[in-house]
Amino acid sequence: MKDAIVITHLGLVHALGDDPQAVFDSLAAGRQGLTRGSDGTESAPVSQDLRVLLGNGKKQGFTRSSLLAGAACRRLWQAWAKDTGQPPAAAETGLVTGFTPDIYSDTILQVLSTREYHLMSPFFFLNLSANATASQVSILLGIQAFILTMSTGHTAGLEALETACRVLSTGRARQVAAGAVQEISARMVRGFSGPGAPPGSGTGILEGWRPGAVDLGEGSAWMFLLRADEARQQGLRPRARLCGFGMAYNPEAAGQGDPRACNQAIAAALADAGWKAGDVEAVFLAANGDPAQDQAEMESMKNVFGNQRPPMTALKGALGETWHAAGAMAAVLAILCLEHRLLLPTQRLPSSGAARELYLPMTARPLNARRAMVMALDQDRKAMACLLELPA
Amino acid sequence: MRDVWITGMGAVTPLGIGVAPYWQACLEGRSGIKPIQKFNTQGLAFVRGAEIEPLAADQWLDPEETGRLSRLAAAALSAARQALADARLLSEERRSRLPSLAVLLGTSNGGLNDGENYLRREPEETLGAGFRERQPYAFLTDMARALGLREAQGLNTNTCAAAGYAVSLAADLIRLERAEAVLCGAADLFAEVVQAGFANLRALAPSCIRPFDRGREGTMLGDAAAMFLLESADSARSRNARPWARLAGEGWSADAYHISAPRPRGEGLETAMRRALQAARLAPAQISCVVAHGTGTPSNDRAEARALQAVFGPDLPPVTAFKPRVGHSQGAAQAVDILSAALMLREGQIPPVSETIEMDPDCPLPVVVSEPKAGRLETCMVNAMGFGGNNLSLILQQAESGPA
Repeated sequence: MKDAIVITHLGLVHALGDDPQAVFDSLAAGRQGLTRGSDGTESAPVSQDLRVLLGNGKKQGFTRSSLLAGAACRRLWQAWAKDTGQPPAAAETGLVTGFTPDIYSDTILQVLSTREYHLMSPFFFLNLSANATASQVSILLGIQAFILTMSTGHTAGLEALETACRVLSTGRARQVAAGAVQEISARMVRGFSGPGAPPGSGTGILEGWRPGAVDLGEGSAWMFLLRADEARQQGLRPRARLCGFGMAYNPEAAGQGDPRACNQAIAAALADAGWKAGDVEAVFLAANGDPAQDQAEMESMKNVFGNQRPPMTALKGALGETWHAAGAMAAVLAILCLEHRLLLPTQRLPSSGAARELYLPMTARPLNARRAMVMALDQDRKAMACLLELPA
Repeated sequence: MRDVWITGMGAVTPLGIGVAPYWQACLEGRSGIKPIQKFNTQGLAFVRGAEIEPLAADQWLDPEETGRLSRLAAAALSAARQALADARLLSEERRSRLPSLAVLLGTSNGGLNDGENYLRREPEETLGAGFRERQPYAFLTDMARALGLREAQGLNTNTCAAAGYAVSLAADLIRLERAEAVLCGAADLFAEVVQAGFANLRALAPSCIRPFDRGREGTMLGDAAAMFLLESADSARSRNARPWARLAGEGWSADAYHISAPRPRGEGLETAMRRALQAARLAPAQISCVVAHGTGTPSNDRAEARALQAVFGPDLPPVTAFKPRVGHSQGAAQAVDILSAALMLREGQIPPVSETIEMDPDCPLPVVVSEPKAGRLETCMVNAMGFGGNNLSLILQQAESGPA
């Protein structure tokens, strides 16, 4: 990356806590965010009262995604105001959101099956818009430079970060809140684990509630991004620097555990950062228990790092697959791991299988690292890698 | 920063497959708005819209593709192949001379229309693999797979400004030297639940769209896919590609006001237009014409008119709008408008808005209403105002007249 882009503030809401440090502490203590529902599926729903997190129980019209995103972003704004004495300037602040609405909701099914068109009320209809969450957050916080929603599934969170970097380089905003949000519904949980899901051949890096199933989590993760010179000028302390991104797509891969997209994305990120593979000191895997995806990622780690593999962990065993939010959530937690010099444990690691070769930690482990790589995978077809480092 | 040119364009609209039939219909003032065929309209209050024709006869698609792909993916693929062919980059051999070809698209509904058909057929299949493969972004990967593309892909869903954001983000990739060429644009198909939602918002008109007319009643939904090959001017020159236009600059803004309504005086769009002019280093007087968002809804048109008056003062350039031709294709709407603007610059003609009969005194704009207006056009501004307060203004310029 030509411009030095830094992260100055972090926000995170998850079942394990409503700020980044609380979630980090829970994970470090080995706590589990996943719970079993009445139908036997497992997921990690946020149970906190989100309206309280937004303050004074306001914003009754917010969707669950907007509440999740708004709560995490509000913390960013509060932290900014604490550091600078005032909120970020509305006209110079942008918002990039990774998000996709649930287009297979029960309401839509009902409208289609009964033709009860009155159910598509203005409120419901407008909230079906993929940009509704960004819009509601912009209204809550007065964001006026721009709002942008990236709706690309598993890679959306990292895409939001990468897009924010480009926006800052072109000068369209002085600071950008970038992140992603994922809410879960019962239908979505069944969609990722129900009878039509891949049958699950072999083992992945993580174990789901049944082989091949992916346990969903929900939450929201956000970061304030600025150009390094701008952060200095505003007197803000960089928490981390974003060094490089890579994305690749493999049109031939289709659930075969093909590592090529992953390999290519990592190579592109390393080239973007001007790093060698040996410069990566910690890896935050995208592993979610999908056998093909996990196998592609495992194979890629071997291809890229050979026998000199850096410390790695996979957090979705405790967080659940937070889908659009996963990359952003992993980036926030990666920064905290580097800052605390602690590698968070991998939960739900299978007791046998190839994943054992990655030597993932079963309990929190000391980490002496400044540079990390965060992965995002959309099955084994599309991959994204993000490289970041602590300030010197 | 580097100069960015449009060197290829393709379209699938309710006026036909390809750029030429679309443009001819625009000059003749024909409309693609008809009674809706793609879903049963029984029980819906408004039953007209602008649909693309079945894609079985599309020469840009293999029969196998029209059978396998969703309609949205097929429309996007057809438009993308047209754009690549127009840029003389359709063959993989020719494309391989480019260092990379990223893809950045926009949409609003994503695969919702296809998803509805799927839900009607087999609702329980939404559980499991089918659920994951039928997400709103699936059309992007399906299109990229059919084209054999392996590079970065992105999809934004910035409602009615999504296409403009896709084009602007793509241009930024080239300006920042992160790409030499980017395939960009948008695709959107309106869906049954969207038709119902717009009706419940009281935003639909029964028969036609009449932007800025005193008696305008609302908008009408449409399908469209429009794609562009953006390229650095250096890359285009090196292979003697003929540019349609130069992307002179874009301005973004957010209203932070309301989830559907614009600020009443159009301040958000005004900011976007001023930012676009600043980015293009142009004065308002240097804009030759404006393609308005022009949805035909009372509040939107009024806000847009006020914003245009605030930026241009009494010397407004001629204004036209294309939603009366192809309906409001939401996420793809600004892609159709950018395509139209590029055609206007090359052909030196501003198509009329023949549906607008009596100008609203609240919207005193110089709308071209009866005949095409002919003459050399140097620049064209294209505006979009999306739900949620997304605004994007973009300026196209004759490629020869911009900085080298």
